[in-house]
Amino acid sequence: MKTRIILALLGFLSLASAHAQSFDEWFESRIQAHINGRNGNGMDKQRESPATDPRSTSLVDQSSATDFISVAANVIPVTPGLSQITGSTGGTGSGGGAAGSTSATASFYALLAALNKMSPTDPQFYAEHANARRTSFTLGTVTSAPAVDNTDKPGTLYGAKLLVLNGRDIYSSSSRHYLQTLQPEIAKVGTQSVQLKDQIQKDMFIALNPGKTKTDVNDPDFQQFSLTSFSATNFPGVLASLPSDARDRIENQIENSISTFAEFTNMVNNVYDQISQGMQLSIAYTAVVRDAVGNNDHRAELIFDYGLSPQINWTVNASADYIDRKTTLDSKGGRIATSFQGNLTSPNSGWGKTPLRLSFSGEAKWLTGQKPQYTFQSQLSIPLSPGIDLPIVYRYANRNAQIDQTSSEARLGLSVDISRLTQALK
Amino acid sequence: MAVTRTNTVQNPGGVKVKTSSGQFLHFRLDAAGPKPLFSFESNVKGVLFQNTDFPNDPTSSYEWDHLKNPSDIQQLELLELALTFLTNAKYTYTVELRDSVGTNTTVLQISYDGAPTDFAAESFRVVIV
Repeated sequence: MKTRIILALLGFLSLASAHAQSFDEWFESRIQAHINGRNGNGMDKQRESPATDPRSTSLVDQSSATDFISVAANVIPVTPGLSQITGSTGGTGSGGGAAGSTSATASFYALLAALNKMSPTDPQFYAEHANARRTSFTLGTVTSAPAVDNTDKPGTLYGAKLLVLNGRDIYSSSSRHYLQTLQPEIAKVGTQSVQLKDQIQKDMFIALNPGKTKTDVNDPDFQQFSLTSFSATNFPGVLASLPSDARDRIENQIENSISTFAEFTNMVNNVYDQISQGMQLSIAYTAVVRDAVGNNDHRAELIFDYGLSPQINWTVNASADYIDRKTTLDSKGGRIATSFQGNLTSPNSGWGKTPLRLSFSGEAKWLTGQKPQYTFQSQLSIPLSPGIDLPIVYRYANRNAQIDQTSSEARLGLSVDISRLTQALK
Repeated sequence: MAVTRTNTVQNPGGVKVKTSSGQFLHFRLDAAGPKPLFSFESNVKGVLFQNTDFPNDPTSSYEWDHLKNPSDIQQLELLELALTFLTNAKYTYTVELRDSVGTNTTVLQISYDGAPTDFAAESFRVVIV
């Protein structure tokens, strides 16, 4: 009984949705159904604080920042030192202090767009200023821990990044090549689509007018049928009144033409994958500047990104680090970090939610006067709404900077891509 | 993911055009950017043009007329605009029925929002009266 009620409800719901469908929407749904039947069936913009920020939810920096403007708030460790370490000053975790940190990143392109009062996605402006998207700047505040930073006052974060290789920009030479190959295919699939629609509409007319065996453009009945049958209001009724043999013939017509649509879908997917997997290399400089007694942290970094597959991105960082201490000896050294980021869902729209993303990262840091530090991190980034993501992080370090004990903690952040949010609210 | 259509003026499926009185169709495609990719076709003549045929491509607004030139006139021609969303997530498509004395009637206005791998095609038939 319960099953019957559910089936009746589902039938009612599908009928209700058919009522809202125009001929074109119905046609697209049939094409998709046939493609699915046949098949069985951008990642990687950094919106988080740079990894220099010890409170960042990002252990590894990515080569490209947002195209526009983004804000990252690294709230607080939600589990302050899972291993319950306590430094001599009482600070916990690598960041210490209760306050979180926040940073804002803007591309030079976003600043130019704002100065020119242009929409950042304006096609002409976007095409003419591709190089402006190579440069981005970051400004923020970073929490300080006395044991590590020699002060408890927050530092100021400054950063700049230059994208040397930019294989994922749609105006890069490789992307332009892929898009050029797509242009004639759009014409091909469009031609196939309009001819198939023409044939289907003619077949519907003949099926619903038993006295007619063919269509004639001068036939007033066919003209009237063309004027009144294919709107969202009238088409569901036309579809419902079709005899079942006519429906079968139409489904066969679609099936016989489906290869053009399937090939086009594959090609679009391939172009999307090729562009989103493009190689990127950037150079970056970040500094955390603290008060008169606090340590200043400097980092010069090479960042490389490569799409291993449509779903998995690989990032490598190599940096030279320098800690400028006011009261004791400075530390110099280097750092290597790598990360694999995998999308668990597909992006639902160009300006919609980002995918649910899982990443695993590792970092090795060597500095004079300190023992080597090795850190591992796993992160799940949950899209809350278009433009707003919640990164949840678990981080483990073999030692916490100058404190010779292991540390592990969970962190929570919030990243806001202002342009994406603005577009979603439009 | 399917393309989301928002109808300001629903596609009527068929449009009457009195070309003998100077009526013609005016088309406008607004693109949010950054790079629109589209094609405009007829079931009679095939591809009429693509975005690359416009001298100012890429741009935020493309406009063209149809049936102004007598050689365009075909009874029961099916016209279709095919849109891809790979590099442009939002479009607004407007079709106006215009005449030589400046009367404009919007016969279709629809906004589209799609994922990068989506494809949509909007069509209607022209009935010359």
